[in-house]
Amino acid sequence: MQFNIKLLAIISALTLMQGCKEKFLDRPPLDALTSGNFYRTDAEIMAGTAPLYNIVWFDFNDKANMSFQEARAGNLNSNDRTSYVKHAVPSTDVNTLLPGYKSFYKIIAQSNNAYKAIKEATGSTASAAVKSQGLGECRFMRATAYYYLVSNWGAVPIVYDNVAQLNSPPVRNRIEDVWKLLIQDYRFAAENLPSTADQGRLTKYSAEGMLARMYLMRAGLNQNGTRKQSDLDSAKFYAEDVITKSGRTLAPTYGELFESANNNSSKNNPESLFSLQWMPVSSPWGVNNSFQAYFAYDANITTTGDGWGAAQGLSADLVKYFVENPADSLRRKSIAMFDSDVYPNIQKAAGGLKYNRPAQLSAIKKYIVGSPADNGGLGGFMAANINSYMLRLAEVYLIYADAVLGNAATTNDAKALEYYNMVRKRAGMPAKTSLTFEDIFKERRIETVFEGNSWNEMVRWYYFNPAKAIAYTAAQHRESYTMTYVPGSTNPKKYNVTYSPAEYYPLSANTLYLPFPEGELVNAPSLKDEPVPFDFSKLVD
Amino acid sequence: MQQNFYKTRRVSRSLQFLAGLLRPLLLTLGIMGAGLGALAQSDAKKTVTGTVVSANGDDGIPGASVVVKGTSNGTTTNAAGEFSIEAASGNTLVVSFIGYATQEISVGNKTKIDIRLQESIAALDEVVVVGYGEMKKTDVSSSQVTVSGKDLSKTINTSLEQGLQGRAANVMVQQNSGQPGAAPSVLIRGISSLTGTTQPLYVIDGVQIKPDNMKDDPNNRPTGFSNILSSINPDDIETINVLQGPSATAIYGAVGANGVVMITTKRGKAGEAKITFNSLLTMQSEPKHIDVMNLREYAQFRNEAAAVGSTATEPQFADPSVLGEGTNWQSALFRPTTLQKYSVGLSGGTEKSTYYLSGEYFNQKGIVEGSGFKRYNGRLNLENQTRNWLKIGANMSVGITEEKVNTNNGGIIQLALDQNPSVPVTNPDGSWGGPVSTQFQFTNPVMISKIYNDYNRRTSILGSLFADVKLMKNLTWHTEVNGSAEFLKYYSFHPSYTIGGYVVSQDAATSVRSVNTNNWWSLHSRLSYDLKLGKHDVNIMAGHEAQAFTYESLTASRKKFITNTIEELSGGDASVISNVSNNSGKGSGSRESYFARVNYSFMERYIVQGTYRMDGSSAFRQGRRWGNFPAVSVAWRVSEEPFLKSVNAINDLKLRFEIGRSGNQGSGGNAIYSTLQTVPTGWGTGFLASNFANEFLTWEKDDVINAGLDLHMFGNRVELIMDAYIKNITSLITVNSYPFTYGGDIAYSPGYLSWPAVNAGSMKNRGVGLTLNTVNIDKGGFYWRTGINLSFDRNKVTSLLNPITPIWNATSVGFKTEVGQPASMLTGYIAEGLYQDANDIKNHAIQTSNGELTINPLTGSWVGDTKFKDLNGDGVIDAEDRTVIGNPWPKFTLGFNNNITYKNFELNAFMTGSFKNDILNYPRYRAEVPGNGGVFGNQWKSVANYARPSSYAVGDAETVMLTNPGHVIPRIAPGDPNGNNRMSTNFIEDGSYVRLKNITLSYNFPKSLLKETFVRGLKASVGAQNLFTITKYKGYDPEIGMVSYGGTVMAGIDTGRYPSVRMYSFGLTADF
Repeated sequence: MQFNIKLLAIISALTLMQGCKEKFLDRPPLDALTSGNFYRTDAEIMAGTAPLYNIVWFDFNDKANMSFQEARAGNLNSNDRTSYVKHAVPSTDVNTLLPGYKSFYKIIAQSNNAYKAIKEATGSTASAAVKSQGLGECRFMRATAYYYLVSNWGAVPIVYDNVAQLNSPPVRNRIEDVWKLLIQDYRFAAENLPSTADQGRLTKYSAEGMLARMYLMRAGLNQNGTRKQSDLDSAKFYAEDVITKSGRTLAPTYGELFESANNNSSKNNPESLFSLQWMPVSSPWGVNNSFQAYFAYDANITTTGDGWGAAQGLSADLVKYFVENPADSLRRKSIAMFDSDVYPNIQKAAGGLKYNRPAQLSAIKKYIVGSPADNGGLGGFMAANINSYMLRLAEVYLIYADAVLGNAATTNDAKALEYYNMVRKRAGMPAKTSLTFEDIFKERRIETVFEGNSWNEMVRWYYFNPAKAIAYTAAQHRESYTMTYVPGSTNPKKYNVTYSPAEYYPLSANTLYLPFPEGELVNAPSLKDEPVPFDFSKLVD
Repeated sequence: MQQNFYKTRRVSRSLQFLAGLLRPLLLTLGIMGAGLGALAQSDAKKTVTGTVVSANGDDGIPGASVVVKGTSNGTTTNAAGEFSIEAASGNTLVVSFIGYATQEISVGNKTKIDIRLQESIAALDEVVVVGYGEMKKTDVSSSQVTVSGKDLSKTINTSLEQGLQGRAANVMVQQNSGQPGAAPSVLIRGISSLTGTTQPLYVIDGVQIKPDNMKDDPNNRPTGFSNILSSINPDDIETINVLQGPSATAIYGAVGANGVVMITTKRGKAGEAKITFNSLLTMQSEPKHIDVMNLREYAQFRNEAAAVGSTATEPQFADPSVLGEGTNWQSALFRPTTLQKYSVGLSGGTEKSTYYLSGEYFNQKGIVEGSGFKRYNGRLNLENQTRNWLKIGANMSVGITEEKVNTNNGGIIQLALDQNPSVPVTNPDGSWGGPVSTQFQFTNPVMISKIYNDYNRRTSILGSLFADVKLMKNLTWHTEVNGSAEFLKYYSFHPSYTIGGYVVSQDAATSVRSVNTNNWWSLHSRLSYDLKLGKHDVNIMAGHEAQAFTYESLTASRKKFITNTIEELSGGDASVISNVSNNSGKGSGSRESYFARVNYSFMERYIVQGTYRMDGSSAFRQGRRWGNFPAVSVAWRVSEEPFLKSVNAINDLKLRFEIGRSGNQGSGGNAIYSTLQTVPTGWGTGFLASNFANEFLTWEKDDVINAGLDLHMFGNRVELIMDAYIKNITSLITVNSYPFTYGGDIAYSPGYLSWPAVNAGSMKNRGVGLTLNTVNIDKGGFYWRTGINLSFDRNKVTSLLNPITPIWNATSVGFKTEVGQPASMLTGYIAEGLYQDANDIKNHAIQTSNGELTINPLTGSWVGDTKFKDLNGDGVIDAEDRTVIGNPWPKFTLGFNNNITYKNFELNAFMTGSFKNDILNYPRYRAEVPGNGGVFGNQWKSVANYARPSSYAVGDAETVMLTNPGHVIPRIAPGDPNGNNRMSTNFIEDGSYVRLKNITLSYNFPKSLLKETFVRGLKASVGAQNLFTITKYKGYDPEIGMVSYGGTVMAGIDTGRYPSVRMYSFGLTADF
């Protein structure tokens, strides 16, 4: 029996030795960093804000941008975005409306998140300059998302600390408070971003350019027929600062702006103040620019298994403009393909693409860059190697002119005319000697069409003069049409355009803002409540 | 420093525990020794021989135990059922075998004794497997059910869980897909987690496996449908014990909350080697087709759609009457096919060593080409009594499976319903047929099923080693090492092709290769001590366990294949960066546990059991990671009381009551860390948060009260088992859906943050399970046995942070978990018929999204549009009018087994049923909102009754009428401005069904016929599985199952699943 007791003791000891150290139970992820030990060096901060330039914007750029901003503004003819063309957007739309809404709040969440992480990083060895830069980028991105939200939905909830707010229902804040917040954010960005940075990254002037755009728009908010002079002055101030100090220049030609070689994440255009920095790859899904996939009219253009734009094209209204203004042909050819147009940079191997499509729509050309073979092997399925402009210098020129015009009927301010005519000149259009609001408004529409700001321009006008904005949209032709080149005609080329019976979808107070998506109202019925003032004291620093 | 202190404290605690354990042990040793000698007999011994046979056949029962009563003198019968034993004439022989009633026979002056054993439905002296040990069945005081391997083999099962369907009360098994190899969902006592797995813990000879729920996430398609359990040969299973009661599951502490399925595989028995050969050949037939339009009907529909502006007119459809039937895509896709299974078993051994060796080949082809499942499996179980104080054993199973998954569950089957009949399967020249263009059109499902090459290979090894050391009489030290290793390889090749105008270019041709390994090990030791002191029986067990798992994955893909003949990555284009993708992942988790159990019984009449487990998990931060899981159960064997002893009708009556706690650690993943995803950017790799972390996460607690009774009557011919339970689940680990406004998402979308896992919410499950096994007739060789089990399980969410409201795959299909209701209820609008005229529209709430009354066929509502109920009466139909429209959980489920034997024939009929559950029929929703799936897709025949307004002109708004009133299918509405495609009550159906799961007739060849051959036993059987299903459900198959979508449980939603099929089988079992 003694033997057994010894054995028992040995085995008991063995059993106890099987006990583990507490460390046995510490199992952090082995294949991913965790935010607790990141954002501590200059390089980590820059790597931590870089994704704010692409993946978070994907759902906006993928479908929402062209639907919200261009279809509604009367620039797009489309077989599958009709509800946007016709201002009959169902709240149940889960393909475009819901992802669009989610996209802006993802941008805000990730911006808030990175902002907080940079601020609170323990053991940071990062330089003050890079910290400021990173923080500035976060606030800039957040402001831009709010700009799109306030333009598309009006009063929306202000989310400033996702974790703290998570457990309370979101409440909408007043439109003027959203504006106040986003201008505050851009001002923070202008103060914290450097004057120069790595190509493609935001600088102080990116924020100032945005401030010019914002002040010009807010100048009309809650006004009746006129605009608020103090905001107009601010717009003018920031626009001028960008024009004179940023070092940005207009690209020599309009067309080159939309070529892959001059506008990609490795090589941004000198005219660009802020572009989404897409990658020519699609893993992880969302770093890719899918624009060309939807709007290239033929799969043979992209050769990447996409190119679904056969039934997408310019609106009848834009076609009318270009047919009636043959002098605007330089921009026209870079924006739209008309029957018989030739594009040597697409399908280079075959000697160029000839748009030989009589009795069809005019297809979109802007941002259509062709196959990877046309672009140095870069690009892929739903991943064209081209950036999306969010703001470029040409627009700042026009903002300047608009801000100078202010509440006057016309202006012939020399500087305003100079900047305005620089944009015209590049487009091969005759210079103007005096400017009205409509002159500048229309110039800005054509110059930046399909760049994702067109609808916000409508809202800008509507803010201070709803009647005129409605009248403007009421005259926009949104019916279908076909066009055929008149053989032999040159200088200008002539086209036979056959319009279907005219269709108009004027803007109204009820359709100014998009409905909140049903998929969100289910989770947040509080979005139906009336907007409330935002308590700005909740914002720390 | 702190850690050391912690450890020291724990050691001293353990030592105290051990000391407490030793004291009574040493005190009683002497008494034990004295007791044994008194039992010795003085009669003269003689040799008694005989045969043990089954009462309803001539077959000898091998392995039956023959013991001289009151002694340790015993033997087992050989393969022919023969035994030989030394016994005195005053002795009594006790003959027993699992599944048969034990018999006692006095030896007297006989030297040859033949014994016929009656099949019994409950042998009371059986020993059953419990967590970390085994126990006499009469001592069990917790709720647990035993299913024998024999029962499992009565249905045709690809994997072992399928065999559990209908076999035990409160165990709901649903086939999630008819895809060969697909894992079913197993739910024990209702759903007990909202966002984690709801599957039970499987313990296969000590190897713990807790499968995830099958995923149905189109953004994250499963690469396979099977899990590691499918690599096990169901024929190797001896018994399955389903632990349900809290006292039984608490010993598994942290992972026992969903119930525990303990699987014991076959062991060899001392005696002559036994060779068993099984073969099964099965014909699988096509499923019943869904009625879809033929070409004439489809052409007519297209013309009508064109007339209302939904599409362009198609000249080829101008005169439908001249057209033929067109393609029947379901006929083209489905095929009758085979399932084959062959297995061989070899078992035997000596008194000291036993072995069991088996091999299996299984091959199930799918009824759709491009689906199928193959398995090769081998097992070796060994046990050896090395010394009188030492027993060692090892078992190992190696399985290789290959799963063909071109079909991607419903993908191809949905395509067969979608593709229109004007597209030919093949062209006259033999090439594949296709539509005229790629946009909005569908590809050729028959071609896809053949030209895709998607398959998975799994190699899995499950094994364990154990040693039992008898330290003293009644004190055993048991230690074992268990491990599992799973190697998974996924292959996918999608080639380029051009069919008609439908083009998938070379650039889109894609090959994916992926390798995953999952390893798990555990090491545990336990001491167990048995003490019998007069009328007191005590069993004490205490132990420690450590376990850990690791996983690794490596995935790579390439695009752009110039030729389809090379499927490996080398054939793809690596020169363009976007054509190449690769990634790897890695992670681990661990758990450490201390556990103890004391079982005390007095006079074999009053039984008390206490169980305790302490678990520490890597899923939680220090300070929150240790959880305590205690349980207590009591049982009273009323039948042992003097006042019932005399009642002959009652053989056994046991009342049970138990209470205890189990736990759940959720996904066990990285919820406590905020991980960063990598994002390529123009400035190099960027990092972006991928989840909201919750460092305060801790254990989910499941507190259960259970009351039950076991009753055996009339010579054990009636067995009744009843259990009732209440399960309170608190600190529920949930991933809630918060408003998107807070930036997160439930499923992947670019740049998203996944919502945090939090301890928020609680649920209450209640239920009753009834099992009634009876021998109805046992006369003149005619033997009829039935088994019925009925399960009633109710789930109710009692608190929750926010309702969980996922929308499936960006459709109108939604489900909702909210307080006061069962989890995952189906949601939608209440349909109220169609608009009949303009007044109807004006008097109804506004359904167009602009909130203005718009009577317009293109931009508003029109006659023939669906009316939805304005639930909140605000005059507008919007998200707030969405409500619960269906309950996917059955009111009760049923398993009903009939077994009739007569002479050498045996007939077995097994039915399962589910009652009063709702199904959301998504394929029908796609079909019956005309144009919902695009006009290029085919329509169901029922769509012909869609609403036809008399006019589509705005000017006729006041006069337009319905020309075909009385139907519910809305008009063809270009752009759907009225929102007819809202999910509604129109698509909720009663999912009740009763299915004849299996009927088999077998014949045992009599010994006399086999005498001159080397075959010792031969059984032939014919059977049919899923012979008929009685249901009102309009889809393919009312057994929908339960999957995980967006991290939560989705039930009762038919997303177009692969149907289960009818199988006719022929089987042979031979012993050599």
